[in-house]
Amino acid sequence: MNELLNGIPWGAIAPILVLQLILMITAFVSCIREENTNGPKWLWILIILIIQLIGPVLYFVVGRRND
Amino acid sequence: MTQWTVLYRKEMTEMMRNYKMIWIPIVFILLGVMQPVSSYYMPEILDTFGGLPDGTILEMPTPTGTEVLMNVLSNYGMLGVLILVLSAMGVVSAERQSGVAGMVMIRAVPYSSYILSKWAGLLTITLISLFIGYAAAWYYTGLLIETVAFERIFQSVVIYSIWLVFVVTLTLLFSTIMKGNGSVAFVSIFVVFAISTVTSILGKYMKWSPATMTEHTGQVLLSGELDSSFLLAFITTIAIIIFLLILSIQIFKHKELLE
Amino acid sequence: MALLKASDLVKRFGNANAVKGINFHIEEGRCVSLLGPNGAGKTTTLKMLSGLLEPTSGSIDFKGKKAKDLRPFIGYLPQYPAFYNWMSGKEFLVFAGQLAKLNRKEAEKRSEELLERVSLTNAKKRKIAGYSGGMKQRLGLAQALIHRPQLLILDEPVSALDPLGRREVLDMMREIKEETTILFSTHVLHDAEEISDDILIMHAGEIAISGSLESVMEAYRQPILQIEFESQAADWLKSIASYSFVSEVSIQGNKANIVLGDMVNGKQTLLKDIVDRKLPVRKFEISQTTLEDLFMKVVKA
Ligand SMILES: Nc1ncnc2c1ncn2[C@@H]1O[C@H](COP(=O)(O)OP(=O)(O)OP(=O)(O)O)[C@@H](O)[C@H]1O
Ligand SMILES: [Mg+2]
Repeated sequence: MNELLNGIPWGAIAPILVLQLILMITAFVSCIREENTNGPKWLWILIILIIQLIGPVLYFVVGRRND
Repeated sequence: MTQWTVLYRKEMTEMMRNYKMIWIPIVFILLGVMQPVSSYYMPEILDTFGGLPDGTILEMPTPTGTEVLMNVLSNYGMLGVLILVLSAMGVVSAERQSGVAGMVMIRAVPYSSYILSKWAGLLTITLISLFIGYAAAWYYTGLLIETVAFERIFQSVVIYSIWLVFVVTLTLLFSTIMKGNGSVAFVSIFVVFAISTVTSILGKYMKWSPATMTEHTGQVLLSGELDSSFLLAFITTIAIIIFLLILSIQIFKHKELLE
Repeated sequence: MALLKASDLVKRFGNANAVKGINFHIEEGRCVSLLGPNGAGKTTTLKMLSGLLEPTSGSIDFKGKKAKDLRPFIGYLPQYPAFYNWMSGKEFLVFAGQLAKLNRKEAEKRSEELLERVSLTNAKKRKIAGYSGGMKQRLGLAQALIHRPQLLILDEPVSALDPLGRREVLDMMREIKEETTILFSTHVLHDAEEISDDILIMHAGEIAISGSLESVMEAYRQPILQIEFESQAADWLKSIASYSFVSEVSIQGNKANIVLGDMVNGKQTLLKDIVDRKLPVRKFEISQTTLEDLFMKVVKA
């Protein structure tokens, strides 16, 4: 296991993780500031925080009201 | 400042405020980068977690750089298109529904300025996302797999962008025609996939189809050469895009904007 | 000279005739109210004037010339104004100003002025999404004025407001009318009576009555006798219709409005009748028909 961790080229992986984090934070901030989301807000926050990549995208596409 | 500029800037501000300018490019980057990364690590991942009996020799040839990039584009063709259509569906319909389109048109704004500012906004987000995402994919492919010549990358992404521009222009048209966001997205996606399917089944007769842009993209990536039918497809696609825009403007002109 | 003149304006939606060939003109500097019940065609008319709706036929002249696109000269507040809710009030005004071809600086300056005027200065940086109905209406008024229009068209500017908000908007209109010609629609007759110089009464797509408020009131004013009883007196009220001097009786519960041809004679006779029959009278008053009576008459005809 340790061997595997050492084998990971963090230089290549780190930017991906950072981008995912930015995506998550953006969605989170947007969700917090949104007055009324489609569906319960707490559920969206859970979805954003738990499901990587898909969660935030799902929130942006269907969770936000467009106006 | 012309009215068009004011409207375009409003589109851009709106996309910043509703985070589209952030999340869509990020998703395109992630879609682009995950392909080379997973191709590179697939053998190792299988090796470690796959539970294969010791001594099995993995016959998993690492794909070539161009193959990886073609996979990236096919991801864009599915998920990318889906995301672009879903984020563009309300571009006119939502403003018509809320009535704010009428508030804009009260000022002597030409119908064409309104539609074209929307179109320019869609192009901006689409092209930025595609170029950044694809550049990231290219970089990672070079890092992990092999370097692909820049000219090929450049040509392929330009050709591919024509297809995505066609897709968002089509979405803009349906958003002008229909009011419900859901139905706009559904019809747009349905039409896009219908065109793709028909084009791939009846390839011989569909050399002019906008959907052939995806094939030409692959062709350029693989061989660096353009197929002779490209010019025809290019011209008809541009013509169709212009036609769709004119149609959108005309339809918008005849819609009642304030209820 | 008339600022705006509409000739034979017709609007058809499919088979339905929403506006049936109306003629009217608006004098410069006047405040004109367009009255009519729901569905009379007020909004349709205003939209045609503001260029949002193509008339089926007919023409609109502006300052004596056939008008093609009036939008640069007109400020319009729709019946249901909508905004970009993600913008702040000030941002929306600047945006509207720039669309009306003011440069950025002018738009900013004018926005500040108007925000002050519609008392939204304190809320100018807040998102419109958080504005109340009254605030939105005032913002709508401000956006209509941003380019100093020569004609301000307001579609039911006060209908959706509570009494306080109504008061505010009416006061603003009273100020605005000093410098701009106003055409506004309403079905609140009291508001029309209060601030308009001229009135147009529309019914079922046609203009039934038009003219200056005084002249219309003068021409249609009739002496009227209002009687109120402590209990029902319907029998007697029905019987008086047979008097020759009574031209119309309308009964609402314990009250009755009686239009008399001959006031002097009529009131004597009726009063005597009431006394003779010992009817429980509470109020016996001579007054004039109001705009509301006129309106009801037009609408019911
Ligand atoms: N887009 C449309 N399609 C079909 N009919 C319409 C349309 N717009 C208005 N009408 C019809 O035209 C008539 C006049 O409508 P309009 O909205 O002008 O009335 P209004 O006087 O403004 O009424 P309100 O006081 O309710 O606002 C109505 O009978 C209405 O049903
Ligand atoms: Mg109306």
